[in-house]
Amino acid sequence: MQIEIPLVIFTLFDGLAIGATAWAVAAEWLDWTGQTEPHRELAQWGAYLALVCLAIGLLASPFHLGRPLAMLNGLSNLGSSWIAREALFGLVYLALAAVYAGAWLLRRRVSLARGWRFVLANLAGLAALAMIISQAMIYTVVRTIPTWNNSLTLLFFGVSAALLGTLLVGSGLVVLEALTKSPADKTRLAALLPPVVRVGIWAVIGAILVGALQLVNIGATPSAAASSALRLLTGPLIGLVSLRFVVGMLVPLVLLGAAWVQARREPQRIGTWLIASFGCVLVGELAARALFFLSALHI
Amino acid sequence: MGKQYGMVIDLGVCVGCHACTIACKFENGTDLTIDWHRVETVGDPKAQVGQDIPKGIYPNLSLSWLPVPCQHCANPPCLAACPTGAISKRADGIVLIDQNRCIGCRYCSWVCPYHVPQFNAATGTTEKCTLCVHRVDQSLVPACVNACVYGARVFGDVNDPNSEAGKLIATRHAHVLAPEQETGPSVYYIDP
Repeated sequence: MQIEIPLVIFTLFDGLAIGATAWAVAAEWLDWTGQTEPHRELAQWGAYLALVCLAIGLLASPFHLGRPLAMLNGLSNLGSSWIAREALFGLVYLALAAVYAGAWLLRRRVSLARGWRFVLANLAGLAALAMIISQAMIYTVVRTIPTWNNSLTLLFFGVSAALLGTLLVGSGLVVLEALTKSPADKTRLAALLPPVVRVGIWAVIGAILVGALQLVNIGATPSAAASSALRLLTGPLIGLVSLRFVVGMLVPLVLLGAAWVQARREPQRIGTWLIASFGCVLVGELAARALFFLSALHI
Repeated sequence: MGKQYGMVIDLGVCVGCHACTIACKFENGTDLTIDWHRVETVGDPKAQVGQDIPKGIYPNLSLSWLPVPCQHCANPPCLAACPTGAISKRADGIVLIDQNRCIGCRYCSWVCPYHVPQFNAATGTTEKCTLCVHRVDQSLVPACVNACVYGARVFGDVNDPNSEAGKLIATRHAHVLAPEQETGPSVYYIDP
């Protein structure tokens, strides 16, 4: 199969959006359960970043269609088509993410009870969850492509979103901290980064495990298509495989490890490590998606 | 079981002349780059596409052909997967793609075990064998069946044990392609 560039962009950006929304929901829950003020900033910037990324992803997606202008036809078969469900949940998610981000943006002009924002965040989170499950199921249920037709595909999309969203939100906070003038605000924002780093480390470890299991699974699948896929991955595509595992996983793990060590001494100085690891993860996740399509051999 | 139009192809009779593919092209006016019907060579696995090279070492050689139209499955995976509902199955079992509804996502090509749906870049839609539905509706057989020089194909209701096709399926131990995919193809093959 060829690389579907619009689908690579779409899945990358909605992974970023879904991960950022997950952080916003987590921050809203911490806020709701009486945690301190800084978590609100996490929710607010998570909401903005998720909306922007989701909009980019959804804009890219119709370009893989033969008739992009007829894309709304793609909502017709919700009863059995995962693509139709993905499209529906994607649009619902976009609407909820827009309202939620709007609630943050206009919080000083529009009086909205705190509970409403909490509800909106959770609804957007549920739509994001439904969207990523539908997206993964599109590939998981394809019985003719052994490299996709297993539960690891679902894990791949989930872990990828967690990794991308975590480092996106972390990098966003670093930029925000750099732009902030008030020393008190700088300290408050810096205090948010160590938990992001910890989650990022776990997400990278998860991505390494899922990536390794995918390779093992392809090797163990008794099918000519899977054997050919393995030959591709260990032959002509070895460069992309290396990019995915070394640049996209091992280097970020080292960088995040360094950030974690640094966080104990000077938490305000871990921004560079976070942004560098985000850049590496972006490269790695692009490679992962390219491999996902290139190694998808039909039976 | 309801009516299910399909066909039985005797691979022992087929000589790989591709008359069926040409007849399909003439009948349906398909683009030069698109084949709604293809004939695969079953011979030397190292041969290039289009080369009819037998497998084995003389005198133990074997060469045959596998014509592949749409299988008009009983449980078409393309129908369930299509996001637009453009793919439908008629009461007589023929599976069709509504070109006005198709958005060209090509997902039907991914899920079809028989590599049947073809993307037409000129129209931006996916198309496939219709079993010459316009001919069937006039009580004619599909163009590929009509064109087969050696009479290797028998068209009919494959679910009817009294039809010629049904009798061949029962008596000649005809089989389907990729039965493990559980799609219930309506094109049956008799091995050479």
